[in-house]
Amino acid sequence: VKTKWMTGMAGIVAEILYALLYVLAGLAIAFFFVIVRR
Amino acid sequence: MLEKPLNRYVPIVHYIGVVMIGLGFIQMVPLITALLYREWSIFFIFLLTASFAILIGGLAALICNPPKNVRLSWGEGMLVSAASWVIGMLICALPYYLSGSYLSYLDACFDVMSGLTTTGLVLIQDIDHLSNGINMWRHLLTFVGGQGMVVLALSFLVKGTSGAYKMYVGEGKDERLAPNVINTARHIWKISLIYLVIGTSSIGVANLLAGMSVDRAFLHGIWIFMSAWSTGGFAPMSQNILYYHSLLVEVVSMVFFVIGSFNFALHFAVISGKRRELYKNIETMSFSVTVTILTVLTTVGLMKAGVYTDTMALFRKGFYQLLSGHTTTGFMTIYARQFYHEWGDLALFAIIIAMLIGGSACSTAGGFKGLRMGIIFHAFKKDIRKLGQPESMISMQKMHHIKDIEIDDNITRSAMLIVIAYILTFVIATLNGMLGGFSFLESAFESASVTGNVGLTIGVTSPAMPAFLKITYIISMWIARLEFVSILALGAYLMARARGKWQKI
Repeated sequence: VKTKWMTGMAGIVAEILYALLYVLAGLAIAFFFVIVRR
Repeated sequence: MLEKPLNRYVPIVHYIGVVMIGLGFIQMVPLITALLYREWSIFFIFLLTASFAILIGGLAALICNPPKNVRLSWGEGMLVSAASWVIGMLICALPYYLSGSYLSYLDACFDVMSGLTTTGLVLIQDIDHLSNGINMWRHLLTFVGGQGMVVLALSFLVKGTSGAYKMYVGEGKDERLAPNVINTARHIWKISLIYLVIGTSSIGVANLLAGMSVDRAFLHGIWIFMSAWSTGGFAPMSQNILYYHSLLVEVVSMVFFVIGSFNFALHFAVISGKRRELYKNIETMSFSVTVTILTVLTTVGLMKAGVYTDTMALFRKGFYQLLSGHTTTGFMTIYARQFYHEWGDLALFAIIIAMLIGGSACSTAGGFKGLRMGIIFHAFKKDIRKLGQPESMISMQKMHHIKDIEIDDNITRSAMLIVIAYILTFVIATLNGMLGGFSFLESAFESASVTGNVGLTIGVTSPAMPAFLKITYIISMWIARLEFVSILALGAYLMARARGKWQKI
């Protein structure tokens, strides 16, 4: 049961980190265009 | 069994009754909220409407109790889903209307359908001074609608499995997380409730850091999480997420609405240990590609229009709106009319496309869905590759969605049909918007928002808009959320009844 619980929590952390990647990608694209324009 | 025409009503009415009982029981949550905050009039309204829903639903379920071995046909299962959403809307609108926050019952029905379909457009009056009970009801409707009303009833109120899968499919979901559909429904609720705890805590802490009092921070935390996870878009304040003026709240809400737009089968696979599925799955791949292309288009459009020229403004205003639209959430960090007056055509075009594409299949999100975009893209690739090959050669195209699946003509055809149905709904809603006196751009934007169950608004949706437009939007939200098939089953049933014939659909 403990292994299952740990696997589940690791999965949730993986999903949160994966979603954060999109957020960072958005920030990077915005940063890139501002730099290019300057 | 059940050859006589009249008997076919029995299981349909029974299951609709069960869904109504479920909707009555969930009214206990706002009822307890109203009790805790001593909002007595709201407490008595929920006491009345919850009792009414349980009584009516209970009577329907008891009087029309079908024999144990009765099996619902596909048409009947879908009819239960489609009709439950309409009757559910009428019942759930009662507390709204009795609270005095709406100008008409139609407006209350609009907000219920907007909540249940996780759209997020609102016609409510004076949102900033709503009672906590009504605010809890608004966000709870979004949360329940995201998982599915029928899924709720299947999880907690239905014992047998007969016909359950057909009702589940009728609600726009078709993935099995477990061999048994009732266990599938329970898994969906389990995943959502685990995230409810994590999300409420995270947003609550972000609100505390933004300077809110403890109880308000966590109350707003639970509401914002419910909206984000269900890709709903309701917020307790009229300025939506802009109200918080907090980068942390914006980032945390983005994380949860992105996760909320993922397929429940993907959540289940990742939580079961298959973490690689996150970047191998066709839906996340499709989402990554479309988000990247549309973010670039939006950013270029906004820079061309001369608004939001620094990185943080582009990120917090441009990217936030784009991601909110693409996941079909509808959270906003700008005022509605800024879209029209500041954004320019290119950025608006990108956001309309994002709203139409939407999130993942079998999730809380709306739109064409990433799965269908991936299938259509692969089908194009297969056809183009075929042109350069000998005629006798058979080419196969596979995609990865939990397991490897071969894309055959049937899969492509059904994906294309649903996309065409979405486009038709979008066109009809746009036409009605123009008939209501709005410009093409305003009508197209709002129509993409209702068809994709998004909730971003350019300013068309208001209590002052024509009644026929409100009805058009209610129908668009409903048929798009249920993904057309169950609505067609309901239409076929009504036509058969009108002709005086009963046919097993």
